[in-house]
Amino acid sequence: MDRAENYWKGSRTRRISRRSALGLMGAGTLAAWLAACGGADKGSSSGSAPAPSTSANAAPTQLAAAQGTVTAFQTGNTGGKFKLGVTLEPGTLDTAIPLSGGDTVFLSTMYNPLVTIDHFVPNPQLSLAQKWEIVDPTTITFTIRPGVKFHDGTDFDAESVKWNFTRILDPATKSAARSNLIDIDRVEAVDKSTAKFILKSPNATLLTAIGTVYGAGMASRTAVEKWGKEFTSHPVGTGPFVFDQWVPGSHVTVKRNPNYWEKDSAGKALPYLDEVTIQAIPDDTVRFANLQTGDIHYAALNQKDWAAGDKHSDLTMIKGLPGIPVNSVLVFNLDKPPADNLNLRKAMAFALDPSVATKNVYFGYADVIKGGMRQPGSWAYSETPGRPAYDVAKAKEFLAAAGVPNGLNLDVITYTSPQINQQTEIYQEQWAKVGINAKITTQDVTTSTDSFFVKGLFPVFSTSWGTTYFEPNGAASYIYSKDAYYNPMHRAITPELEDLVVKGRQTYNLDERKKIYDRIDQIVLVEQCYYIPLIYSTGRGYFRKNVGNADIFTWFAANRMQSLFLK
Amino acid sequence: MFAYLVRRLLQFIPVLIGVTFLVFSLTLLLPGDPVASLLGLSEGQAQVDAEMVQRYRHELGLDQPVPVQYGMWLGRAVRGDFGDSIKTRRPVADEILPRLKVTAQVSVAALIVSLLIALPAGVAGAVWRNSWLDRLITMLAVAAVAVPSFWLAIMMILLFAVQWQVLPPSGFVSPFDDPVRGLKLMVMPVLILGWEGAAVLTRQTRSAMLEVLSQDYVRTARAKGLAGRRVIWVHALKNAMLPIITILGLRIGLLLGGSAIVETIFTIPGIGRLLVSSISTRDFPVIQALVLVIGLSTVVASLLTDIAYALLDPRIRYR
Repeated sequence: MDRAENYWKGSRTRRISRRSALGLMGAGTLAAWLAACGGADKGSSSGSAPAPSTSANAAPTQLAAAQGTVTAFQTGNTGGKFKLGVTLEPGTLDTAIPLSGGDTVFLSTMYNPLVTIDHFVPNPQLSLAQKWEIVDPTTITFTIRPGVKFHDGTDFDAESVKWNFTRILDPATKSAARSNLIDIDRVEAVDKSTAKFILKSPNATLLTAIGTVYGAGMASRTAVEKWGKEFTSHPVGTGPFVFDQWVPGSHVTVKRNPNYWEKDSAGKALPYLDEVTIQAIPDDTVRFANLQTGDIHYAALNQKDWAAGDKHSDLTMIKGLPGIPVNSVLVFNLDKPPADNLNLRKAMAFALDPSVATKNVYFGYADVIKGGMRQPGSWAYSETPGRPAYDVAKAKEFLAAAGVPNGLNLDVITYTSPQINQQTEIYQEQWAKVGINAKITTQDVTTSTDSFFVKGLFPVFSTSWGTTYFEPNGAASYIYSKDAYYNPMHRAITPELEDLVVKGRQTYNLDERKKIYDRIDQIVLVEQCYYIPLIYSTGRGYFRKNVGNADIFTWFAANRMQSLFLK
Repeated sequence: MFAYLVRRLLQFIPVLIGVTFLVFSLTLLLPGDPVASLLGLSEGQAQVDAEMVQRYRHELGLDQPVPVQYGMWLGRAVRGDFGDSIKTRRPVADEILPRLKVTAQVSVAALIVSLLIALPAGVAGAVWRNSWLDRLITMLAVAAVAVPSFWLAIMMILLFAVQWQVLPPSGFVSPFDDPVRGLKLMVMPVLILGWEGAAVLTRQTRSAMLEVLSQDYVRTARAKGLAGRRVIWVHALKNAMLPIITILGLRIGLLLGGSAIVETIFTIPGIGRLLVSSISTRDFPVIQALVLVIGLSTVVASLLTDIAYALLDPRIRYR
């Protein structure tokens, strides 16, 4: 049993206070992100599952005190220049308006949110807030850490919190975080060190939505007002590194913030590194080549390079959490024939055997999903109700029940990606065996997402997803609800499902919540056969061996680059 | 010569207008509401933000007749104002200019490599026609056209960077900022682009030289006792240059448009890579400006080619 499993077991048996329960339940950073990923960018996320390297196997402090500060695992040497390779260059360096999940790695070097998410312990941890208090279900107060300054020398205080959240919640800002924070009615600065959040309705996921730099990092008001829309390339936060240079199409460089507020467990100032350069290297092979030659210290690799990465004597592999990413998912548009017929949707779902793709497309580095969009190992995970599992006889039965025993023609849309294309062709062949003649249309990721989710042009989308959600509200709010960006019908799927989505968000008791999400999966997977996840994997990141504290680096949420050091 | 130049420059103007009008008319061809596309809004969002769309429509003059719209657009384009990138929200000119410099550096280097390979190889192929050397050169030229640059790029990275570790795998630093690292980083992309260009140039040089070498004046030059080298490199090559320059001109236009594949693989922040990423994010203002830049570079390259013709061949400037 690895440490990640230990953690999950521990968290499920621990007595959970209301406060930590709120945190635990609210651990929706990934959810927030993923949805926001597409929300701002007309759906770039649904396609390109980010290559994550969340390190599950290294819970450093296990469940730190509910309001502890995450500290470095090992005291490191100060100095050194760290380079990492990512797939995408940033869309913006303004923390309020990230355009894709990939922006987070850049933002987390320069900004801090009020609370941060310790990824191994999906609880909010203290960051710029020194304490939080749930006054009542619709009021949270944050005590602000004293003495923190923005990189431009201005003070960070409760007024800054109020100003930042007012900016994020202003529709004109087009903040990606807004949809996750929409339950915030207003923020008041009670005094210099106390910010009071007043909610419109209880929200069990709110604390973690606040705990991400993906849209909710704290920016300097002075700098935002000085640079206007050019703040996007003149970022000023309170984070461990200060912006130095952005060469579009190439890299972003940040330098050590000598006045950073955080210290490690030995009292040594963080960050350790003098400089971090994040290079956008879109080609998987070239990114791996850079890692092998030592030109970069870290990269998330594609499955095809995992075997070589594991064998490489200079590299350390960091495993992510299971269920990130979801490599294959089938989404139906319930208003578009033939997917408007439940029997036909079921026939299409039962006809597929994703294990063929896990072996042939992912070299065995992927697993077949048995249940719905709930992360394996998380408190909410359940394989029952299960998704329609491969059964040719049943597929034929449903075709007959729909009155088309000899099959039908089907338009399937997918997006340009070698793996997605290969698995969709495998599905095409499997559908053909039951008489479903599928014609595949391939578009680039943005266009296909727009064609399917926004314009509703196709009955079926064979796509991928960034994550199963360890906060199940993620899928509920971003895929199932009538307001969800990724609901191609833009209407309630059933009134009951709509009610359950809201109830799931507002319920504080874990057992009750789990039952709600069991029922949601029953509707989504079985009764409506709307959104069928098929394959997931566990992402991997690879570090050079001279990087210290690599095992507490997390790709998602808080990247903790302040804790990395070079040996 | 001066009259020729003036005439050629005057001819350049309508072409320029044609190119700019074509680029402008991309806006008219956009499906749905062009303002929504320019703002990066979906149709649904455009309805929600109707007021903003209307205001922007007025600001851009898109509520005016088409000729007026074109005039306004051209006025802004001449001042370098192409609006803001939908993706980065920064002025489009700020996105393009630094990348244009990068692409120009790589292109010039690639062109030099092309010429250094193509001229000797093409001349050698013609002089020693049907020899083993000629066949080898032909084979390499065919291979350069046939082998896809992405494959070649990956193979070179695996060999020179990973296996032998003599070159850095990818990235770009201007050789003016850091000559050693800058040149090292340039070696692979420039060789690939240069080799690719050399293939066509070599074939063109060979056939042009073959034609020229069989002409009477070359025989006369040899007969009057001129050295073989001088006959080939001075007398023959100069007259064989016209078709070579035509290809060279096209190549300049092509290279300045940026090589999407080579720039993407080697993570060179040039305009080819920007074009690819802008298309995938449907960043229309950037795409429009890039199409204009690429169109203009082709037109300017052809103008330079014509000027070079006149310099090389007096018949053209007196025509």
